[in-house]
Amino acid sequence: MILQLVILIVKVILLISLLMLGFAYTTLFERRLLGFFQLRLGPNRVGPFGLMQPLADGLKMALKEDLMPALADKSVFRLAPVFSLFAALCVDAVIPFGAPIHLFGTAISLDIANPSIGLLIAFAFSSLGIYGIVLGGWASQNKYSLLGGIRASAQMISYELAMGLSVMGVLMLAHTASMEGIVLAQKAHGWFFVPEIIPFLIYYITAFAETNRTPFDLPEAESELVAGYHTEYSGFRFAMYYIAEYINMITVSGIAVTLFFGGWLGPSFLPPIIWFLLKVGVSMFVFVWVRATFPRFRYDKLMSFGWKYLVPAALVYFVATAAFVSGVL
Amino acid sequence: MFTNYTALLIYFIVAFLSAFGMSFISNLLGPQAPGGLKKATYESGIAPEAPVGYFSVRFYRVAMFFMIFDVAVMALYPWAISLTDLRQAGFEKAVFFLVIVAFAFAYVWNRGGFQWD
Repeated sequence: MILQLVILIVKVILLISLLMLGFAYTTLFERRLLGFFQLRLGPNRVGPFGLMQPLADGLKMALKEDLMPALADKSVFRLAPVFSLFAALCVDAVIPFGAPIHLFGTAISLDIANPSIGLLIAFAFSSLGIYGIVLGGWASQNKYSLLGGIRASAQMISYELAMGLSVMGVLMLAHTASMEGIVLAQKAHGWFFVPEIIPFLIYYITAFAETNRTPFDLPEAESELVAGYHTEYSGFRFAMYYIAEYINMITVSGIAVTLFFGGWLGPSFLPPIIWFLLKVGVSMFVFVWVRATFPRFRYDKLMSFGWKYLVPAALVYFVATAAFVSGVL
Repeated sequence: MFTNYTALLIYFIVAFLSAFGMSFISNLLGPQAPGGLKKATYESGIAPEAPVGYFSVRFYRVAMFFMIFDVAVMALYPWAISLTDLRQAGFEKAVFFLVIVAFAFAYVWNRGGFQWD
């Protein structure tokens, strides 16, 4: 009992600090890579290879004055970034980072919990993240922020529909919604991106929209909205929106890897957790690559792309998978 | 032994507290130098006309379509998980349900509901 509690608390603290560390080095990874994509070096002055850059950035944010706009709704303005970050952190609780390890005579699973509705919990919390953005935009009492927040919510809920439909095939094939169960099902049936390649592509496109990344970064389109929903934020509250965005990136990559690319499965010459992190790393590279390649969508095209292409495509493939799994075909 | 949901609850509490604590870092470490126009709303130099809170009705429309179709999709999650047990009968019933949803979708599309202008 005591041992279980200690293990749980260690896992909780470890996961949160690893996500923070992951965020910090994702920013460096992204800036260095964007530098190479644009034929320059990127940040390489602070520490060897710029490895201390995230620390310097964090310190700079922490030492800025925390401004509260005179017209803002004070309590909502304070709580919105907390909510955004909280939702981003929560999703990772159900993602298995590796095969269970044996320590102190007990098997320790490398996730916080493995409920039978794991995937639904992940989706529920990733939807909650919208509130942080839309409340922050509204509480700022600034036209740019309000437009950014409202755009974000419309975009995220539109793409959520296609996202929900695209993972349905995986649920059918795996016969469970527990994340651990989905990984183990892929051990038996092979990785699900092979039969589900189109749903994977739909999921991946919607993942970009859900995390407000280029080419779907309309909520913070700097050419028209200054900085979108966080225009009025400063200091560490501003940083918290960034942390939430990057942790969301890690999370959607983790979910994509777990659902479609076998999670921590891989040849045995590397430990499972390394395989998982490698796959997530490849996905993060694609996120940066896409940012360096594609221009931003126009808003009307973004909405019609979600509703008129992604949703019908996901629906058709969903029916086809259902026909196959139920034995009709 | 902890159930999955107690573990999740503990994690959520710790996650909320760390996020909440983080939001005070700048209050503690940052300078406090009030004055000037720092607290003014940033609207590219134009004096803001409070309160802000009105936006295009198109966003409400998107929210309503989302509600309608996402609830339909949510209803299919338990069905999808148990499809291997339901076999052909389960497939036929879901197709009947999906035809109704697809009809509503086609109707909204035809009436220009997904057109953004």
